[in-house]
Amino acid sequence: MDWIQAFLGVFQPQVFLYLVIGVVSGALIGTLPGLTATMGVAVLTPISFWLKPECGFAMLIGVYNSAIWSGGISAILINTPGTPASIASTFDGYKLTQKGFSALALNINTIYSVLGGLLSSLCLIFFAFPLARFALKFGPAEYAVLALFGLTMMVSVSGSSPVKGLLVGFLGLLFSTVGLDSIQAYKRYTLNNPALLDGLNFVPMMIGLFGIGEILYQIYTSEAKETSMVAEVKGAKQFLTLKEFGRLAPANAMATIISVIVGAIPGAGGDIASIISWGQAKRMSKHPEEYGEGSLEGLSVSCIANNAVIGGAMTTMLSLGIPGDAVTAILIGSLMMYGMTPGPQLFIENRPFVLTLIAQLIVANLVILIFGLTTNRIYPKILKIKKTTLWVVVAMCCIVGAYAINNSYVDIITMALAGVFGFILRVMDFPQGPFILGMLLGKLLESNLRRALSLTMGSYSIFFTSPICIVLLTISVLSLVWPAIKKRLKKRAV
Amino acid sequence: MRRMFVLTLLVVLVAGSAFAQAKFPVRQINIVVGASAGGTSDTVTRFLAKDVEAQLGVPVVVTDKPGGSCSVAFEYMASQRPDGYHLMYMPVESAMVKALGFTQLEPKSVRFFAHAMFLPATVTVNAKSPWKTFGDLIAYAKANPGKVTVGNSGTGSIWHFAAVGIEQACGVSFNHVPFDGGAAAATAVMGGHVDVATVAPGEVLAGVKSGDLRVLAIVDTKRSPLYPDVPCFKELGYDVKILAWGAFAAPAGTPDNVVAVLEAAFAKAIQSQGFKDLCMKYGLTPGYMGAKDAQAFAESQAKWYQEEIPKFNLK
Repeated sequence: MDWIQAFLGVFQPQVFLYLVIGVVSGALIGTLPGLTATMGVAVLTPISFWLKPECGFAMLIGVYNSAIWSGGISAILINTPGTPASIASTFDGYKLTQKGFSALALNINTIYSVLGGLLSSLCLIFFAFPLARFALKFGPAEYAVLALFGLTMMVSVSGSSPVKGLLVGFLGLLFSTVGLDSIQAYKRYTLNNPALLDGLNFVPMMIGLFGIGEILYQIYTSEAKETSMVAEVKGAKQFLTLKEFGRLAPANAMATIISVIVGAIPGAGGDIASIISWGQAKRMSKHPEEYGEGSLEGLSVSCIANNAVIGGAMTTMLSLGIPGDAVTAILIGSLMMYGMTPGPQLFIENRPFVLTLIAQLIVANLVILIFGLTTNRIYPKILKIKKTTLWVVVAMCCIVGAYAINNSYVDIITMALAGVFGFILRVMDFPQGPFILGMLLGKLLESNLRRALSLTMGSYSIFFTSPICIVLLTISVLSLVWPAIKKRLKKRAV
Repeated sequence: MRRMFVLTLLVVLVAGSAFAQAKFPVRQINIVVGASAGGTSDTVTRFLAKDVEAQLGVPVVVTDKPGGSCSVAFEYMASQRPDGYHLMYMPVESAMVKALGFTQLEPKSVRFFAHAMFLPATVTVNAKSPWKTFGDLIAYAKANPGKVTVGNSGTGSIWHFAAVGIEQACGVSFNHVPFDGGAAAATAVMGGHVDVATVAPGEVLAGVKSGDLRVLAIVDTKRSPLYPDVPCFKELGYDVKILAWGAFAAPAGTPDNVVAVLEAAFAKAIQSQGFKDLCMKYGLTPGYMGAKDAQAFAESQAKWYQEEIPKFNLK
């Protein structure tokens, strides 16, 4: 009964209006490289204080879900992830665009993002408390092993040459050490610039590497005759057939489970979840060779993964009062502003409000589905713009986005240098994925490994006594040696 | 003719600047925050900015420039023109960053015009732990030196020093474990990965309400409104003065009349009922101080940290 009331509440004209405002502004924020979901929510939070709690949250939840979804649009169309969570969508999404299937890719992004959001909302409804309790089991040792597991994906995201992939991957790890070290606060490669004390900022690095790198590469390889970025937009195939949908289901089910868990674990968000899901799906796929070359499965997995993180992150936030990712950290602040403390007692004292939040989450995804499918036709028109114009516009967006994230010129320089580096990688045919993976997971691995060791006074035994560590280590080792075993088995069969 | 022109120009310029000095503010005021959006510093500043905006009748815009424990924002603000239009939220870290070697700036380098609030550390343990009182914890720590693991919000952060202050006051030694922020340390106590967290009252509130965490003491001279049943350090007979705080400052050389306008506006905003309510929700202690006192307080803090921090042998 109270569920019906919660859903009816969302459809109150005022609440629904703010939800739609949230979705539309989120779509804009997410599509522009550099304007992340975190930033969108942070900027709109002070505005939401003027509103009633249910209106304010309708707007914030709309922005959150919509920005994560629309980050995939720029990843697919211009090879620049709109938000860090959509990095993995560039791997296959942009390849599909180059082949002329941008309409199909965009619809996959919308449908699977919404699916991810809905499935993870169901997890929030049915498993909130057990899931949150499981997330609490992650201590420093477990985080370190999770990061190590993520790093084994380096091989998966390396494309054709694992050696090249590992080379840039370890370079990424090296770059992740810039800044104060997280245990002794020792300054590393900071060039006496306070802006580098917190390390190289990830978002500008990402925009530079993918966005600027791609533009430079196109300028380098383009011929005068070509006018638009891709040869031709083939509109014929726009949707997946039911049969294809069924074929992609197992990989997506796995990606959803991985992402909900990663989302629930504090400090690990959509970027890590989507790369791990993509890498794991590739390992288990019957056609791993298609991954990175425009695989429908690969794209769908990366799209479902980053939105499935939301339900997981909301779970930890609502049931424990612990932020599951950067956005939920801000949402906790808003809840406190309204005089509500998230945690188990919120489910008792403010049950109608919790149900309203979950209902908003579900309705927001439905709004995204409708909004996405109707506007998906507009986006590919971007590709018909003259190439040179597009380059300038994308470069401008990248610069503005890099500056906006911290209001810092150092970030623009970082982005420009990363762009040149990304270009060199493209020309020399090195993959960019492993570099991003190294940067993303380097700090998580280092700080938690050292934290765990300082807790145990230097004993490594914790890594072999914690059940989560044992399971993750076993999967890591197996996934590294599995290809070799498979090869040998095949030989024997022949 | 030319002389006349130059003279007129001079007169206009002098008169103009005198006029400009007489009337403040006439355009947008910017306040920079050295932390990310959504945090305590950002929330407090945005709240007060709204109030000051209404009082002064010009837009007051808050910008976040996170990085290096506020030193990025500090260097930015100190390099701006001292005209009263470029202000900064000054956290306790602004008194620490010079000693930590992040920047050459210290409270002496700028003009404080208002102090807003204080934020004490809590001593928080897992609800399942055997320590029911602060005395239990200290007794165990004395018997087992270096055994108790204490999570803080990062090496060289204010909550790290709070734990060090407790060690010194109580004559015990802890195993300090830095986390990425206070919330992460509180989470680690909830999960049973570390024994104690010395973080802000608001950061452990959810855990306390859910029955996962227990606050043993407040490191302050008075109790926290969020935990009225928990004794403060003064009651327990200890004297630890390591608190987080927040104030506001303008670049050095900002004229007195401008500072007076800002001081009056912020005084009214900080002492308003609305700000008191906000503090209550976040577990902050409102504590207004005027320009003179705020400056003296920040400088005395800086002096203390410059003496203490080198003893920790941080690199």
